[in-house]
Amino acid sequence: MTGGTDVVIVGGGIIGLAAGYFLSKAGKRVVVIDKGGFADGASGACDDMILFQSKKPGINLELTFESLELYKRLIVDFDDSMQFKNLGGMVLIENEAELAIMEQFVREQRSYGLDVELIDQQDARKKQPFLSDHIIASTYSMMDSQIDPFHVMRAFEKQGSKLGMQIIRRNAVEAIDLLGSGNWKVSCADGSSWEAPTVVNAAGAWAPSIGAMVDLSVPIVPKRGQIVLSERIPPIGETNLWNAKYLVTKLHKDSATALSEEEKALGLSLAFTRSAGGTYLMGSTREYVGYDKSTTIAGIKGIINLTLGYLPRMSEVGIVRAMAGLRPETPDGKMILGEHADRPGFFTAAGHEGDGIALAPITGKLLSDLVCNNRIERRVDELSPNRFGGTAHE
Amino acid sequence: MNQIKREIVVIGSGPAGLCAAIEAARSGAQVLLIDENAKPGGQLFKQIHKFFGSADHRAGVRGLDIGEALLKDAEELKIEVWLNSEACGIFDSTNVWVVRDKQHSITVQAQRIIIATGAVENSINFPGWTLPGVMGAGAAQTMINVNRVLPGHRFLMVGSGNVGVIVSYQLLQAGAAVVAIVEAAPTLGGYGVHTAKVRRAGVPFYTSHTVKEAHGNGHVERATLVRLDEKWKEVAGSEFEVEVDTICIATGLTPAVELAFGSGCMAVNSPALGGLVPVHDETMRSSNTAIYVAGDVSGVEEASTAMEEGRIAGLCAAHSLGYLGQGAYEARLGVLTRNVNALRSGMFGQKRREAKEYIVSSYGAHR
Repeated sequence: MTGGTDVVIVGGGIIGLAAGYFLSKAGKRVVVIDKGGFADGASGACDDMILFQSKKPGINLELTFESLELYKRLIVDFDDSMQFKNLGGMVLIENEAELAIMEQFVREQRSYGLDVELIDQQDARKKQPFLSDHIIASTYSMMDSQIDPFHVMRAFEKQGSKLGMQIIRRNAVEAIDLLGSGNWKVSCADGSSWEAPTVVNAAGAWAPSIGAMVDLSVPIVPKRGQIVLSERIPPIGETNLWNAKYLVTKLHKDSATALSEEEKALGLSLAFTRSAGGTYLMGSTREYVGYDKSTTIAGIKGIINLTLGYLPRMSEVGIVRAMAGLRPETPDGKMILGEHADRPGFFTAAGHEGDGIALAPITGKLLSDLVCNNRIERRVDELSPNRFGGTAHE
Repeated sequence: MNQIKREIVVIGSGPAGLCAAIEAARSGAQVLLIDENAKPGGQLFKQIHKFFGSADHRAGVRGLDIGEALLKDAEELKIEVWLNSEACGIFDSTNVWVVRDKQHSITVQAQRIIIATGAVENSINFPGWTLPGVMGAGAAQTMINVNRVLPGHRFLMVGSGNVGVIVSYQLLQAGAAVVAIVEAAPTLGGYGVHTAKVRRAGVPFYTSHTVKEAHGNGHVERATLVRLDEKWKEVAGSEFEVEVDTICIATGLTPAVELAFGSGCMAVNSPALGGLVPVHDETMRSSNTAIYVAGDVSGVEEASTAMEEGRIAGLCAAHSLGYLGQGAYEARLGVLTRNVNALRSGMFGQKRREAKEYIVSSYGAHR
């Protein structure tokens, strides 16, 4: 069949569904098309963090504040907690060199309005009694929050559907063509097609192949993140945990903190978070392996050993599952959001890397404002797909 | 990383896995059999009742005696057996990651893998279902027949299928009282011969009934039963209580498919055989051509069928590696196929046969 609508969104992950909801709310007729099933992609193989502490002061941190506020409003509007929790977070510091860099980082974040502080070994152990003895200090922010991606997606889907949003799953988009009328024609694998003045590429790690259909180069690279899940256990500490080691090497390329060969090869860094179901999610790897979503023995072992380095007693806890998702990475670590030059009506909303859950509401809201030509602050230009120069697909 | 190579790795040493390992070893292949338990044999050693079927299937022999005979065969064939060994995953199609004694990680590079992980008991939820004293019927059976521990004195059995009635009878033999057997369906589910034994012993059956709630202070002390109408809805006012200290749940089994699906085997839905199972062909080969499946993981049936499926998988996996001449292979496969078809005939077997045929017919579409 062929249908007409206002907006076709390619990709039904958390970003596509958030965009669909906000566009529907703005009065647009929306069709969301996904090649897979519900939560088949990165949105279903990730942790549940609205994490502030990993963000450098700048637009990502700013948008995370706004996204958290939006989530709080949606919880009221939807009358659905979506398993929102506010456990706070700690970034674990192992030596003086890390401490010096983190002191500086925390100062910058504080000046940007983030409620974060450094705490000493004793206070860290009060919050996390099972920490390894070698942890000398930690950051602590009570702002780091969590929300369950599956509940969020279900909620956007349910609320969007009430407003007329259609969701088509297990149907791949195969071609996108500009018609003489100025509308885009989106053709699907099953022979159906949709015509609309606006198309949104929200295909995450697969956004480049959707962009290529209209001869655009979308500079997103899939980065594999493996995550290991524990069995259900009672809480073992107050907060969620990260390690400073990886953050520090990102902030200072030649910092004194050396990563082991294994940590380098797998891009390992600690993320230890308690899920809504009472399991712990342990991550994660950052690997460039194309579109291979498999888990690996090396990855799972690496994550387990990394976790044991910070929380030795976790050796007594069983592992039930491992999973991997492809995080869409951009060259400058900022998402791609906006309309492409010379492609009127063709938008991209992708490239959130590990921040898709945190930034979904604000992404959906900003995209809806852009599509509807609502007044929008200039800062969104910083996220424009046109910031990378030439648009022609190589 | 600790790595070794083996021709065929069999995962699970229950009836299917044991028979697969023996058949493959007899065919000449090098076999490693692994099991997460401390003892091999899976469910066989708690089957103190005599099996059905024809003489070819050792009808009239008790499950535990079959288990002993198979272990002797495995020993004579010098099959390498690793116990207390968990298969954590299958990576890159044929690498089995094994953790031994919860201590040592070893990767076994296999040429063929036979997954015989069996099935897990289903549960049903009702208020009080987490109270101590609520357990799977299979768990109770293991306790009385293997561990020689009677987990309670007054039992309620939920489910009248073969597991429900066989375990009920064995509980009676162990000296317990079975206060009631409830069955949500309007008709009983088990074979007549098992059901009749329990009925003759005076155990009341309640069809179109289920357990509504378990009560007790720290342990099951009573249960509320309720009648169900033709739409399986509770009939208000029909509740009554029974005094029991243990509630056994015998509401079917689900194939333990995690390892198979985690390794990329394609699935097909078979409601009659327990739900999603790895699609496979007549040789028990999955959509991943290096991986075979056998026994309950490929569709829940019973132990005799599991053993024949295991033999087919073992034979065909070995043959795919070049063992056995074509003539010997075809002759043996013919015998095994006839055996398994015989087990799937008659009024009880027909439905299972049709369900298996559907799984096999789906194979082409999933390749």
